[in-house]
Amino acid sequence: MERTNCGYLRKGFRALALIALFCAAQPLLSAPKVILNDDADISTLDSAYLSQIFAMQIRKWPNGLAIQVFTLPSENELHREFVVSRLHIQAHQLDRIWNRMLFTGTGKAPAVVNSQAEMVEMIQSTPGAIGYTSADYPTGNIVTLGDKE
Amino acid sequence: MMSKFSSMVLGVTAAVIMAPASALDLGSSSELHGFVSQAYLYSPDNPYAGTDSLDGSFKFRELGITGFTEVSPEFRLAGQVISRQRDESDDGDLRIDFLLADYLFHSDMGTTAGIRLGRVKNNVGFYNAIRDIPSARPGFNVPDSIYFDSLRDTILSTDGINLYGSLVLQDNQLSWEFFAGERAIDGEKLEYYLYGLPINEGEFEDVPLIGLNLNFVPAAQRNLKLGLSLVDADIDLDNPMSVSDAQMALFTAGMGDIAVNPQNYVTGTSIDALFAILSVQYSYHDWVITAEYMKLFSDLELQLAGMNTERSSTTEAYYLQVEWLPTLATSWFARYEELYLDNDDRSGSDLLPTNNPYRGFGKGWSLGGKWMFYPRWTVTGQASFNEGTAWLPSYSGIEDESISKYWNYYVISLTFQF
Repeated sequence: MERTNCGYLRKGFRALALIALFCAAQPLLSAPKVILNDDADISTLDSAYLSQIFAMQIRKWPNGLAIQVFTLPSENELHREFVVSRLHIQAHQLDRIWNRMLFTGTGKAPAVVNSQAEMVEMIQSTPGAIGYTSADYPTGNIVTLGDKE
Repeated sequence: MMSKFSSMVLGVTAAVIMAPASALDLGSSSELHGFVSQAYLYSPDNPYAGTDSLDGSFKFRELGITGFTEVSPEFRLAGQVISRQRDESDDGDLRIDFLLADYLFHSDMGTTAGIRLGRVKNNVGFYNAIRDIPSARPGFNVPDSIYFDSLRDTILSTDGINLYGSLVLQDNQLSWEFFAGERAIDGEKLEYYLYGLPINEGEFEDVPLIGLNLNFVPAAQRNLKLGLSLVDADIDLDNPMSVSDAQMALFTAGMGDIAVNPQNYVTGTSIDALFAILSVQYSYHDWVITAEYMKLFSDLELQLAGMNTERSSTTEAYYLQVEWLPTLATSWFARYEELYLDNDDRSGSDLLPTNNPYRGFGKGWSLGGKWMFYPRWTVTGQASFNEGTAWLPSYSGIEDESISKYWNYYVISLTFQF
């Protein structure tokens, strides 16, 4: 009796684990979304341009407005996911690019925010701002660019 | 030379001072950063930048302060002052590492182009521009083979013009940089490099430089970066000993002395050097694999007591480096490298007479790691195991020491960066 119970539990646990796994994997299925300030005047960004922006190698939008890049801290899981899935490089590569630019006088690191809420607030209030949130984070009517650039 | 440089510095400085006034209107931003690094280096076999290191020395210190002001998205100013002490090899005096005005004159979704004026660090290979920045190096040093000490001064930066830009072609990224100008050098290292000893009269001062740097990141593989660097440097000896003085000295010493002590009879030197470096870096998850290959083609015209000799040689170097970043705060690296000052004479036996018969080549392994044990604080360790002394840093007096063919050095350093 006890045994069957155990088996039942085990089965149940396995199903639960599968569901949990599926849920955990869910955010990975849709990559973090890029969010933009209205004034940037942008509706699409190709992938190479996007990586150059986050590598701080492009300083202004086509309309002339300064680009203001916001990121979460380098050690943040969402940041790392964004860099891998949207920029197609590793987070440590970005850190190195920023550090190099700072100490050769050719650029700087982006502004760092500590939460997605702060990210959304900064993107809304800073002209020319660009950042990201997880795919399902509510961002109201901010301009967002999804998986397809 | 000083006056030309001073006027340039003054010009840029004036621009910096004037910047805040316009900054208020244009919403500019400024930042200040810096670093301090203190190392302990133990080199039991050969004097590394001085004899103190034979018993272990703390005379290895680096500091830097860097700042920039963004006047507008197009216009920015940046400067850095550094001090680098390496026992006898570098004195720790403050110097302007770079000081530049940067104007971005074109930027759209496909291409960008801009110009920098002033003193700009040269992007030569992956590491030349950041060789003095502790946090940007894999270990205590950038790879010794390609970035060997003798020519560090010559190609470090340029006082002049730097054009830069990037283009995106079907998601492939190409960035380019072209620079031209002059580099003021402290010539003693070059004298050790060329003659094995310092010379009596004449110095190397201003070196005209022209360079091109290309970096390519393919759309299909963003983790791959390919680089090509070309630098042409014309190095001439200024105010050398006159031919009549040299001949007189030779007459007094006996004709045979020219073969034994050629450095005492140098009446002219001119080198046309072309550096070519191919660079590859591939990042895979926590791993970064880097390899670079250099060929340095040099045409040397050497005049000894009025007699001209000409010599063309090729210096060859490469390294392969593997970095592993197992956690956000730690990294490890292993590197193998080789350097041959004259590719046709890999043992270096034809080099001018010197106490150091092994300086024609270098082969070595380096192992090391970094640990950021607290935000902004990093401890770095490195052990290097070498054969041949091509990259042993020279200093005034190294000719009096006996030099070993096999030599190791061990370093531990503490760096704070803000």
